[in-house]
Amino acid sequence: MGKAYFSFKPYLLAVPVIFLISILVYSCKKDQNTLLVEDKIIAETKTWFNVQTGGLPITAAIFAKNIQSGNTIPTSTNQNLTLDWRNAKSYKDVGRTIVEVPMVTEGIFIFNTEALSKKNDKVEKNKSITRLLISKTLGYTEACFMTIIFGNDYLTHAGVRPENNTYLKQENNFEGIILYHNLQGEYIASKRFGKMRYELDKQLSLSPIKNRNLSIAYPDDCKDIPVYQIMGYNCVDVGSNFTYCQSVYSNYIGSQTICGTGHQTDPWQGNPWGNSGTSNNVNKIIVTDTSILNSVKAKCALLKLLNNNVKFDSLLKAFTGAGFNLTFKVKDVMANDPLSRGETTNNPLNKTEIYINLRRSFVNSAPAIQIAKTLLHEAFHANLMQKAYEVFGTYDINNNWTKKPENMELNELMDIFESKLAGTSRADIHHQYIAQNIGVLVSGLKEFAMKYDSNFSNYNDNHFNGLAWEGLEITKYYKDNVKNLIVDYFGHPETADNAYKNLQPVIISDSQVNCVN
Amino acid sequence: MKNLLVFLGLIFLMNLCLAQSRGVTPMHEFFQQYADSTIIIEYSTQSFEPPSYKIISKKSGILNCFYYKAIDSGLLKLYNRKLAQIPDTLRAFLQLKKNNFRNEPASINIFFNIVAINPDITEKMWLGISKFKPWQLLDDKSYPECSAVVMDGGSSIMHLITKKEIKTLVYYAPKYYEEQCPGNKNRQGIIGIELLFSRYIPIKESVF
Repeated sequence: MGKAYFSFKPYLLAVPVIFLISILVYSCKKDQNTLLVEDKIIAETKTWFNVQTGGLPITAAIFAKNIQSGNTIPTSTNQNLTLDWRNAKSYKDVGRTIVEVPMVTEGIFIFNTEALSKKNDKVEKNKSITRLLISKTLGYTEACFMTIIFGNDYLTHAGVRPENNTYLKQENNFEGIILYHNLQGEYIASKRFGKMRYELDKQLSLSPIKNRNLSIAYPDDCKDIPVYQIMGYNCVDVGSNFTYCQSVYSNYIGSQTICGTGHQTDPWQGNPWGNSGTSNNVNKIIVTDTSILNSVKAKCALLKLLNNNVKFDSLLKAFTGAGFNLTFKVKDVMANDPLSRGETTNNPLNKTEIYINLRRSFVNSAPAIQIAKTLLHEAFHANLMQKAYEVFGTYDINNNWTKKPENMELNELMDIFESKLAGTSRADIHHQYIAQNIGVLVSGLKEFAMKYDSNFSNYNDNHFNGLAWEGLEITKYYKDNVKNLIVDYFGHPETADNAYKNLQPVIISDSQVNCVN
Repeated sequence: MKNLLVFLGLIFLMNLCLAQSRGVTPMHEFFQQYADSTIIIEYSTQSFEPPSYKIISKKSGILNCFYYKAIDSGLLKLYNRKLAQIPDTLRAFLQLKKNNFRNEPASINIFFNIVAINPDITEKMWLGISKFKPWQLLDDKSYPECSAVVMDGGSSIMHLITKKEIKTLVYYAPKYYEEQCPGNKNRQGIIGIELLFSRYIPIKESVF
């Protein structure tokens, strides 16, 4: 036995060595396969992206087109932003693949929340990174630009690797802001991380414009974040973090309001941009506040409506790149407790910011279809407010205009204002307009129910009319034109008023919308 | 100048906020006929639900509180299909009849109730309301609307009833506008009066 052992001893060592080599070979083979798959995904993504953009170059100007103050960027020095596909990374998320493609320039192109001092051409080149971000699910691809602005404290930590932060995962000590812009360069959403919010609070308190007495209409947890675009040319690196540039431009490109910690962590949830899907998608400058995301039914109804509901999209189109922001919130206390379910209001200090608030006790007790109806109704108000403000500079429509606007819808609204309805307020005039266009709410609700309500087949037009007219039955239009119409009610003629009042509770009671999955 | 006048006229007309109230009902007329003076707060809703009311009334120096709320628990049971198997048409017309009854303008009927409150407390409530001089209050149609905007903010509605008249005052989202454009005594008045009604007649107004 001992002799046999000694004669095999040199070979015994070979067994584990061969085993280890096999494992290594197998592992390498697997990695190679993974790489091939990743290359394929990135190649497909590149092709898709080129189709979306027509192969046109991306320039820094797309982010700067809404410059509100400060110097404009000289056209001659506008930079091309190149996508570095060779260093693109892809990784798996739940049910989808994410691809991140770095953007590079010959000079310096960064975003910051502070302007660059004119005397100081030294640029902190790691202050932000911008990447193309692509999400691929089965048959559905979406893209946006993601900019990560790093907080000052974060950058001073030893051993930080800013480039390691991605859409899905950030370093443990990461603090900063992530901004999302659609492929047209329009702001979509943002999120704050860590201490950056306190840095910004401090920064805001130093500004006399921002240091204002916040009113109830302006959510306490909302902050205006100024965003600057900084570009440098003919730069020479000085150390690993800084560079000197022959020319530096710093442009204020507007401020973004971030409420709470900001937009949902997933900017794709019901909020597609640059997609390859159906053509009725719109790019929405909306913020779904964390209060919505924390309310199961409010989130359910809103995200389902945002998922390409044609009428809801048409109402929110007013917030597409027109410089208006719309924020959805759930609130414990409304403007006029206890009877309001939903309300649409604005920031009195910045009237391009409009809020749709849902009352918490309402969303907790109402079925999703009724919340959807309230959202459609409030979105209609938001739409009319935006239209009026864009043309007249006020939410009221008056005869201060010098030229009748081309917009036919606005003309219709103006006609209502000018009809001098006795006993009407601004809100009543809106309701009169909504009543005249009740089909928007009815169609929006039908589409919602058709897609998501398992009891859809049991409803008829009167059920949807009942739900849509709820709260609008006091309008003059309803009283004059709808209330006494004769409609079919279970095979019997009945007034629309009676039918609607009785079928509204039926649809509320019978509706079955899955808000769990 | 002409444009300015038209504009001011429009602003004035736009501020006539009467549409939210369901107006004078047989219940209002009852109090006008049988009481000396009555104050009613109307709670309108953003739904087909009929409004509810809280009432304080004075007759021969004695104060009483009442409320009107058209709740029909039997109707709610009818809507719930799981509770009873009823043929659709039969159910639909049962609902219709019950709902139509409930939607009738407020009157002295089964939905009308007295609120049992100690006379001292009622006196305290009346005195509290009187401090806001309700009979001298003006409503939204008498002053320019605040530039802040809220849609679906809801209205506060108060009916002041005497033998001589029934006066309805409508305030659109008074709490919101008092916060945005503070200092309006009329809005402060209705906010204070509503608060007293909520405190002393603690019946839930909210109807979803």
